[in-house]
Parts: sequence; structure tokens; C-alpha cells
Amino acid sequence: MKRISLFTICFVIFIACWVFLRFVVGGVISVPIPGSVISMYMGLVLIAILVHVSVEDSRFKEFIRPIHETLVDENRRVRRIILAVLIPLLLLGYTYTNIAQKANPPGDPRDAHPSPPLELTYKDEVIGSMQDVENPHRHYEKDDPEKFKSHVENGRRVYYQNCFYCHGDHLDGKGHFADALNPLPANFQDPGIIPNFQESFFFWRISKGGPGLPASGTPWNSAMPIWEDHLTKEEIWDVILFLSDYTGYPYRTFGEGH
Amino acid sequence: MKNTLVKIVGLTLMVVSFIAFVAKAPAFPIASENLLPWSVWFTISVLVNMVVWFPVMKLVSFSLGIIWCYAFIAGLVPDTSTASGPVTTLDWEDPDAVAEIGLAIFNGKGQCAACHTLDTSAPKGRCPDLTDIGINAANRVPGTDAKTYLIESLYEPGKYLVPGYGKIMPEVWKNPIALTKLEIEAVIAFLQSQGGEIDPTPFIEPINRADIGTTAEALPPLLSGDPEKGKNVFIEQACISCHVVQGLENPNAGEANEEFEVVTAPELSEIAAFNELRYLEESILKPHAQIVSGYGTVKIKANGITYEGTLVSQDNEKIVVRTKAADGTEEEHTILLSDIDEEPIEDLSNLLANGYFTLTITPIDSDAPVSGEIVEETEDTVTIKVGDEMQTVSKTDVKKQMTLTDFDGEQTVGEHVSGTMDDDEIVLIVDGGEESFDPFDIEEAIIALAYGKKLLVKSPMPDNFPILLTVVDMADLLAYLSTLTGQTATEETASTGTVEEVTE
Amino acid sequence: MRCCSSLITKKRLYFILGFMLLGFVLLAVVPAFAQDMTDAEYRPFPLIGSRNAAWIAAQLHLLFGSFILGVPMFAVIIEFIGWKTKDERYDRMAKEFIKLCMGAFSTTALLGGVLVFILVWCYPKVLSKLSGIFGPTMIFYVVLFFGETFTLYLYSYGWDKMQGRFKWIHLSLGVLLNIWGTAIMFVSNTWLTYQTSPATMFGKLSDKTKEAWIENSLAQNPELTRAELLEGVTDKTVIPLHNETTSEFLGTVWEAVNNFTWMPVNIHRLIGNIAFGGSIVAAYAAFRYLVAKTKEDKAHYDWMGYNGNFIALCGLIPLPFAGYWLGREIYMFNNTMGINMMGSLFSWLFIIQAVMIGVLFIGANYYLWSGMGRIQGAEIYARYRPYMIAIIVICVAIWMTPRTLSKISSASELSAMGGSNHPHLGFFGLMTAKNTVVNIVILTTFLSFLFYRRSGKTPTASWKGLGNVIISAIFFLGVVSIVVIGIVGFVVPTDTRVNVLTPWQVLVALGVMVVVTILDIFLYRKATTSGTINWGEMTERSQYVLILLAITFTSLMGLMGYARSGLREGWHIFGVQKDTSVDAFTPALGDAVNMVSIIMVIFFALVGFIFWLGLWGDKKKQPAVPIEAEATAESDD
Repeated sequence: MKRISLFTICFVIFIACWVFLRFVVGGVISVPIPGSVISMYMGLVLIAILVHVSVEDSRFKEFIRPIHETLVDENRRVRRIILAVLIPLLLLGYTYTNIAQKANPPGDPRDAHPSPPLELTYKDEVIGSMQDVENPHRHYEKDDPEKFKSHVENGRRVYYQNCFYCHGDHLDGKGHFADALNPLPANFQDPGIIPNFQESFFFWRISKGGPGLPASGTPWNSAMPIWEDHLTKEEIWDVILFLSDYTGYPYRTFGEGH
Repeated sequence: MKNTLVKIVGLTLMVVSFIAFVAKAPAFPIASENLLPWSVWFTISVLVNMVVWFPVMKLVSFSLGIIWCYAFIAGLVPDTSTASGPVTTLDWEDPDAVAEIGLAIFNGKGQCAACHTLDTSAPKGRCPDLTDIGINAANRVPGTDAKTYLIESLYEPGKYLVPGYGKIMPEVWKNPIALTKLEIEAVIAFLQSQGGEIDPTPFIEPINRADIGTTAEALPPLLSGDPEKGKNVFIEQACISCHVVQGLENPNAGEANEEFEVVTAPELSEIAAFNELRYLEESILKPHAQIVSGYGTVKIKANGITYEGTLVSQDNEKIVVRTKAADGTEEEHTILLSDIDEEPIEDLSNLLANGYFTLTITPIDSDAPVSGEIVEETEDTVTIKVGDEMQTVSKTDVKKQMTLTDFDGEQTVGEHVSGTMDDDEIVLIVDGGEESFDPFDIEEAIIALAYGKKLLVKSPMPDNFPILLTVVDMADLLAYLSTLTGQTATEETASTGTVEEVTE
Repeated sequence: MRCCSSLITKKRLYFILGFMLLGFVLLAVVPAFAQDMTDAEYRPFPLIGSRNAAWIAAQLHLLFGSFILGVPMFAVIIEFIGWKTKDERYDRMAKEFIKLCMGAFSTTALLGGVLVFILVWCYPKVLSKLSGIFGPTMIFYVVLFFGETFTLYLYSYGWDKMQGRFKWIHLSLGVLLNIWGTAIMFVSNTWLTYQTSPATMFGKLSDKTKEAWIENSLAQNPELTRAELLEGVTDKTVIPLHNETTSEFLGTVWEAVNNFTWMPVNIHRLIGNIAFGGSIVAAYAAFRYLVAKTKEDKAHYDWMGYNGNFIALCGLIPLPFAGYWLGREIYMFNNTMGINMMGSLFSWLFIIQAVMIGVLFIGANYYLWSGMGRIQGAEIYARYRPYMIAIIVICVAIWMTPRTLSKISSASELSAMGGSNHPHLGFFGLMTAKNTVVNIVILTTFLSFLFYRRSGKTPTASWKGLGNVIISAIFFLGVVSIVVIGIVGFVVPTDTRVNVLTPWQVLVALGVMVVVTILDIFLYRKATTSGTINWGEMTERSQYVLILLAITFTSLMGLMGYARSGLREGWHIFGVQKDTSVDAFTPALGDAVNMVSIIMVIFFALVGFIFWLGLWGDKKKQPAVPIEAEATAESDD
């Protein structure tokens, strides 16, 4: 039996990796991975293969041999002809996919985590620097649990009267309106949302809404209302307490540091 | 000699394509951006140089290739620079400089490049390609010169559409893009520079800057909709055809509507006084979720007769259905629930949601069917009330029943053993004994997992409002409905803060 | 290569001194300009614009500066090793390093002068603001610079004179040189870190500044009482050093120096300089290896390249930790700046950074594995290689995975994912996953090095079997605990993760490396050597990898320079002096990296020129040196 060449093995591994990412991870295990991310991973696979075959001279020669043979060996005429047909065809396909009009609009160039302003304000009143402001009701958690509970309850009321239309009954971003919105309403159950930001950041996002997003947040089509027009400062702080209480995720704090 | 030529060409191409790539020069004259961009030329030349040159030049090519690689990778990420400062003056002494500012706005603040292309060979964009717009502008609308056309296109983009393109361009002087007059002047200069002459004559804006719209108008916050606009939505979306609001006149009153049937619907004059916003929202998005008694439609079969009409009233024993005959005469029927015909059920999931209130089912370990009112339902089981006893039956382990109707209309019901209408024979167990039937004698054979009586009340309101209404319309409509308290608007009794805000 | 006593000809000495003089003249003349011209806020730089001009000059100055500060650090250590082990090769190599340094030194001074000139000409107001605060340090800087210059000259020219009995004096000079160099860097770091973070912690303020700050704050908020103001203030509270309305400087020079990001940047750069210097030296060796004609030359430069790469690796391994500290300090200083850096404006830059660091680690491992090809008896470790490649590549893949994919996906892909985060791969985008894989990559690289060290040796210690089991167990437990900590990191509060878990991960990784190194030293103390290292028998590919590493290091520095500077966004001095020039915007990532590429080309052209000068000096004594080398400079120019 003829031994399978190293080149063929590498080629098969490469294709298998692609199939794995595209169909197994992106179909069986999870939802499809965007093409750009797959290309990135495949680039790494290619690098890994090249590293493996080229570290040792002997293996590198073995890897190169079929390529070299295909290009110059008399016995490999058929392969050469196949390649000579295949390469222009591939180029043709590449050109076609590039030029063909796609009905697929591009993704969203807006930044997912817009940077907040330096100062936290409510309407025009300055509350303090974004860095230092803490939730004025947070300290009840230790000092007066009963009172804390009442604030959380108030937050719950505010949430279910105002927020759940979009952010959902379970704070998972799947409210009635969610399907109609782009960008989608924030999912507070996502472990990457609440723990990554301070309470002051949430206050800013709630009070200023979509129209308050900075330039890097454009195109500016977030449907989040400017809640400072409707809610009092206390209500916003309470709903912030509620978000963390309900989901169980703590907000980011900077502790005493060092 | 030949080798030297290859070397020189390779080296030159490498240097030229590197510079062109970094400087973002336009694509090579003989090819387009899509086929042979500078990156391809560069890659080819580096590879050629790596083969033909001596070690030091190989090293140089390699190094340049690596440096380029990082620039290439970074260039793949669609990133935008933060906007530069606002335009404060335009120096018309130097029209090219003005056009350059215009280009920056075209690609940046104006967001024009998101839809318009400047390259005829590029894939067709969402909006017309603007190559040579400087010349073409004069030819688009007869009798309109280039500058007038461009001014109109930017201030009132919907006025004239290039054939084949939709009405999607926003008015760029309004929020959120909000170009200033100077910025629009610069953009026009840039567009004119595309194949044409820049015309620096000043012009008067054909708009009123006061209408720029608040930032909130460009994208209204969800629940602070405008009740006045909501009223228009209410009329335009034909809510008014069926729903009565005191003091609001139906402009189409008396006209026959071909699109949908006009039915009697609840009066909404005081809707907000007794209902929460949450309910109003749900009623629009999911009309069947809660139906005001007396306004639902039903379709039932009792004693072999089908009744289809409005549900007038309902209690534990009977329902009253008002039907409308073809000639328009209305008739009320009182139907006892016990008279409703059992229907075969082919799918046992969501029985209650589909309107079934009784069930006749044969568990797999029993010969006789059990029958009774449905009390409770889970995904896999259903609890029915048989006499005074509760019995829980599995939905999966049931005996299949088959109902055969022959051409004389006679029915045979039995447990299904084998065969369908496509087979040579159908075997059922009828009264404990197996019986065989020839499909040729049978008109209809219905397999049923169970039988049940069904009474499903639906709302006559169409359920396509989530599609018909934009979020903005929805907010406005809800704002309008929130004002319908039956009292003067300022005496507010609704419970939520947002509603208070809306009605002020 | 022979040791050459007349390395520096008179002609070249004049040449170098001439450059230096020019630099100093510029340095001296410039302040006079500055005083004269403060009326203009900005002046345009012809053709390429002020910002680009300053960018190019600053980045080039920084790269050369890094090189001349990094190289003496390890040159002295290598010289010391040579002195102690009496191995002349080390002494010769250290001298060759310093020779490269000399060539770069004048260029650094020249570029520094050009930079100051551009700043004075284009940004007079910024410079006058900075010199108003940092005046005394600038004088100090000039003094240090003179110290550095003369020590370097003494150190370099006195090399052969001070052999033998006076070697310790020479070594002390080397140490002194490094003290000057480090001090110079620390001083110049104050200016630029101050631009980023003009604030310090309350506990570090002098009483006078505290008082000034309190008065100012009370004046701004008349409704506050003093007690109310001080209520929430602890020693760790960030206090701006300026009056928030008038931008008037309130602190002392030392407080401005000791600002928030100063020390992290110092440490980060110190380690980075070693890594960068090592990689450039390795690239030089690779270049010489590739053009070498004789076997001896090949062997020598192979050995030099190996040492350079080893030094670069030593710097590279702690570098992510130092960078992490710097990032954390930026978050502490200003949360907005932190989010800007990691979450919004610069988040994609960190993906590119991950690509580059991935290349660095893969390349460094590749070189080590290639090196094992020239050691007899190293074959037994080859079977582990595929697994190590797989581990590194998977870790790099995780590191490179972005959290938010909206910018690089089409609308249909986004809707297929149900949002801009992939429901599963999205976890790779979080910091805890990235920290975990970095630690694993570092441990894997360490393992490669361990194999390299062991290649061709057989331990004779009685407990060798047990020793290997223990070492494997330590590795295994280390990786498991790093992964466990990483997984726990998903569920604990960010504060805990940043302050407790991540430091623990780092400690575990460092602990494994330290313990294993100690065990390994004992295990192999009396090992029999079954195979020698055949210096000079490396593949050409591995030499290209050394050059790849140097370019990647340099590009990375350029990229991160852009990030550090760009973090200020529209400010010259963050929160104090607004940038109102035409360039007051942050360029897109693609444009910025284009700019970095241009700087790279200029830098390597200059470096090539200096290398060529190195060849030029040797040529007189060694006619065998290849002629092609001249082509480098020609084509590079």
C-alpha cells in the first residue's frame, strides 16, 4: 500500500479543521461562527501546520516533495493539467464572489461598549466624576437590609413599569419589542455586561439613553429612551440595585486597589 | 539578463505596491479593487523577490513583507477615526481644498460613503454611484442645473430618485447627521469636483433650519410618544374603523372597506382609565391574548351544524353566538356546551390553548376510553375530570382511534391496528373484535389520538400590527391611547410615571 | 572574528561626534525658540502635517532610545559572565553589542533633537505648558544625558585598555552606564505619563498641595463644607494636580513626576527595552549568519543569535504581567480611559496586539525547536512538539477571539448568532479567558526552553525518575490551577478577579517556572553530555524567524505607542489642555498601523545602515566578508 504523503495529511487536517469549525462547532455544538472569525482561526491552523512541518529539515523536505514532484516530474502530468485547470477556475470563483452583488448588508460599525463622559450628570445637574460616584442606596445593603430591600422592590417596580418591554421579564433582553430593535436591548443575564461596568456607567446609560451615546456609538439607532426625562434620580439608582439583585451579578468596583 | 530583469521588476513592483498600499492609492489601472488590489501585487512581488534575489535582498523583501502584513491585518478591521472638528470657514479661493474638506465629510460625519460608492467597478451600493456626478448632476432632471440638482438632493433627497433606487436617503441637514450649511457647501464642492467644475456661488438653503428636529425626534424615546401623532396612527391604521372613540370622527365612516371586515369592537374612549399601558401594548401586539367579553369570534360545530360568528355571552352550560347570514340578517343561537360535537384531535400538545375543554382518550393499558372535562395540562400529561374523579392520562401512551366514514355516511370507530387508505385493508378493533375494512368502501379515514370538544375564541383584530407599526408609531399610538381616560387630559389617574409624562 | 583594538577610526569618530554635536545644538537652541514663540498655538509642519511629523520623530527616537538603553543592561551581565567564567566568547559578544549601541547612540540623540525641534515649532503652547511644570527635570535630563554619553564612550573605548586587572572598573562603568540610562528613561517618562494622567493619589500629596486642592474644590462647590469634602477622600483617591476650571498647576514637581502611570510605564519600558534590545541583537546576528561565508562566522553568529533570542525571551515572559499592571493603573486613574482602551476605541487594537504577541510566542518556540535540531540527542523531545504547537495555537486563538463581533460580521451572521456576541465563543472574549491562555502560553514556552536545556544531556542523579515525575506533576497542577482560576474568574466580581485571581494566576505561573528551574538545575547538575551543540548548523528558516521576531517586537512597540498616546483622545494633557489643532482626532486603526509601518520601514532602513557600518568596520580586516552586504544599505535607503 502506498504511504500517504505528509502533504496530503496536512491538507486533510486543514480541511478537517475547517469542517469542524464551520459545521461541528458552528452547527452541532453552537450557532454559526462569522466567516471572519473562521478565517482567523484557519490562519492559525495554517501557521501551526507550517511550523510543524518546517522545524526539521528532513520533514520539510518530505513535505515539499509532492509539491516539487507535481511541478516538475514527468509522471505527474495529469496532476499538472488538473492544477492548470483548477487554478483559473478558483480565480474565477474568487472574482465572481467578489464582484457579485451581495444582498447582505455589512455588520454594525458601532462600538459595543461606548466610553462614558468624564462627568456623571442627571439632567443638567452634575453628580460627580464617572469614576467616583457610587450608588447612594448601595450602603443600605450592609447598614439597613430592610431599607435596602425596599429600594430593590422599588427598583423592581420601576423595571416592570418601564424597562421590561424591551429588556424582558427575565432581564435577558427578550422583551416584546426586542425583535424590532437593532441594536438589541442589553441582556443583563450575560456575564459580560453587569460585572464589567460600574454602577455609575449604568446610571449614565439609563439617564441619557440612545441619544446620549458618544460619537463612537454611531450609527446612532439605539432605541433606549432618555430616562432622566421620566424617572427620578432615586428611581434610576433603585433600578440599578434591582438589576444586580435579580441577576446575581455584582457591579464592577475598583475597591481600594494596590 | 532575463534574470536581472525579473529582479528589477520584482523589486520595483514591491516598492511601488508597498507605497501604494500604505498611501491607499487607487487600484492598479488594469484591474479593479476586487480582483487585483495592491495587496495582491505586493504579495506576488515579495514572493518573487524571495526566490530570485541574493540573501540580503531576500531579507529586505521578507522584512518589508512582515511589516506590510501587520498593516494589512489592521486594515481589515473596519474602524473609523473620531470625527475632526467642525468646519468653521471655507476658503473659496482654493476650491480644491474645499472639495477635500467635502471628501472628509463625505467619508466621515456625513456618512455618505456608507451607501454611495465612488468607483464604477465596485459592487453596486445601496445608493447610486457618484463617479462623475459633477457632470451627471446636470443631466438627471431636465431643466435643473448641476448645482441646483445637488442642493436639492442633499436637502430634499426624496424629491427626485434615480431610477432603480429606493427612498432611503435621510435629510442630511436634520438630526442625527445634522450637517451645517458650510459642511453641505463643502460636500457639494466635492461632488462637483467629481468630473465637473466647482461652482462657488453661494446659495440659499431651501429649508428652515428651525425644523432640524430635536435629537430626540430623530429617534424618539420609546414611551414618550406624541399623542397627536398617535391619533393620526390610530386613524391611518384604520383602528378607527372598528373602535369608537368619543369625539374622534371616522373619516371613512359609511364607506365599505375591502381590506377587512368592519366589526363591532370595544369602545376605547376610556380605555386608559381602567387599563395599564402594559395591557394596551399587549392588546396591539398580541390581540388574541385577552379578549373583551362579547367581542371575540368563534367557530363551533354542534349537532352537526357549524356556527361561525361573534361570541355574545358564555357561561358554564351554554354559549350565545351571533351569526350573520349572507343577506346581512343577524341571528342569535344559544348552544349548550354538551351539544358541541367532539372533534378528533391529531395533536395533543397545547390542548387548552387550542380551545379544547373536554377530552375523550383511551390510555394504552385500558380498553375503554375515559372522557371528561380538561382540568390541567402539562407537556406530557393531561388531567381530566371523570365524574367526580380526577384522572391523569399520559399524552404519549394512548391508543390511536380511527374513524371510518363510508359512502353512505355511516361511521365506524375503533382502535386502529394497521393500514391506511393507501393500503389494501384497514384493520380496527371494534367492540373487542378485529374487523377488516376495504379502503375502496371508505370515503374518509381519520386517525385520532383522542376526541375533544373545542371552543376557541379569537379576536377579530388583525394580528399583523407588530409588522405594520414601527416602534415610533407604536410609541405614539400608546401615548395617544394613554390620553383616553374619558376625562380631560390633565386629570391623570394612570399609574405609571411614563404615562404621566406623556399626557402632560 | 578577531577582536579589533582600532575599531573606531578617526574618521568615524568625527562622523559620530558630528551627529552628536548637531543633536546637542538643537537641544540647546530649542528652549530659546520656545520662549520666543509662545504666542502661536500651533504651526503646521509642511507636507505631512504636525502630528505625523511628531509621531514619526517620537517613535523613531523611542525605538533607538529603547535599543541603547536595553543593550547595555545585558551587555554588562554578559561581560560579567565572561569575566567570571573566563570564557572570552562572552566578553567579545558583549563588546560587539556595545559596538552596535554606539552606532545607534548618535542617531538617538539626533532624533531626539529633531523631535524637540518639531515640538517647539509645531506645538509651542504644549511645550511651554509642560516646561512650565517640568522645568527642573529638563535640566536634570541634560545633566544625565551628558553622564550617559561620557560613560558610554569610556565604557566602549576603554574596553581593551581595562582588561584583566582593571576589569572591575570597567564593569562598574557598565553598571553606572545603566544607572544613567535608566534614570534618563525615568525622567523622560514623567513628561509623557503626565500628559496621560496628570493626577496622583491623595496619600502621595504634600500638605501644601492638599491644602491648595481643598481650597480649590471648596471654591468650586461653595455649598460643600470642608468636612463633607474630605468625607469620601482616602489616601487612594485620585486627585487632579490642576485647578479644574483654570487649569492652573497646583502641585510640586515631584508630584507631577510621580503621577499615576509613571511607575508602571517605567517598569513596562524597562523590561520591554531588554526584550527589544535582545531581539534586535538577535536579528543582527541572523543577518550576519545569513551573509556569513565561513564556518566560524556562522558558528559565532548562530551563538550570538541564540543568546539574543534568549535575552528577548527573558524580557518577553514578564512583559504581559507588567502590561497588565499598567492597564490596571489606567483603569484606576480613569475608568473612562480604561473602557476606551479595552472596550471601545482601542479594543480592536488589542486584537491586533494579540496577533503580534501570538506571533512572538510561536516564533520564539519555533526558534527553540529549530535549535534542538543542531543538538544530538534532542530527538527524544520531538514527539511532544505537535502537542505543544496545538496548545500554543489554541491559546493564541482564544486570545485573539474578539468579544464583540459586530464590526467583522455581516448582518445575516449577526442574526444567526442572535446578537453581536457569539453565545459560546463570546466567553473567550472576556479578560479572564485571555489571562488564562497567556499564562498557559508562557508555561508552554518555558517547557520548550526546558527541553532545549535538557537536549543531549542525561541526568545521573539517583532521583532522576522521581524528579521527572515531580516536575511533570508541578506542570500539570500549575496548568490545572490556572485553568480553574480562569473559570472561577467568570463568576466572581470583577474587583476580586482583578485584584485577587489574576495575581494568583501570575504567581502560579511564575511559581511553576521558579520551582521547576531549581529542580532541573539540581537534577542535571552532574549530567553526562551525550551530544554537543553544533553551532552554525541552523536552518535558514530559523534565522528568518529571528528577524520576524525583531520586526514584530518593533511593530508592537509602535502600535502600543499609538495606543498610549491615543488614549488621551482630544487632549494634549488629559483633562487639562485641550487639543484644538486640526489633528485633534484619533485616526482609524488601519491608518494608524499604516503610519506605524512607515515608521518601521524608516527604522529598519536606519538600523540596516548602522549594521552596514558594522560590516564596514570589519571589512578592512576581513576581506572574506561578502560584498552583497553593501546592497542592503543601498536598497534600504
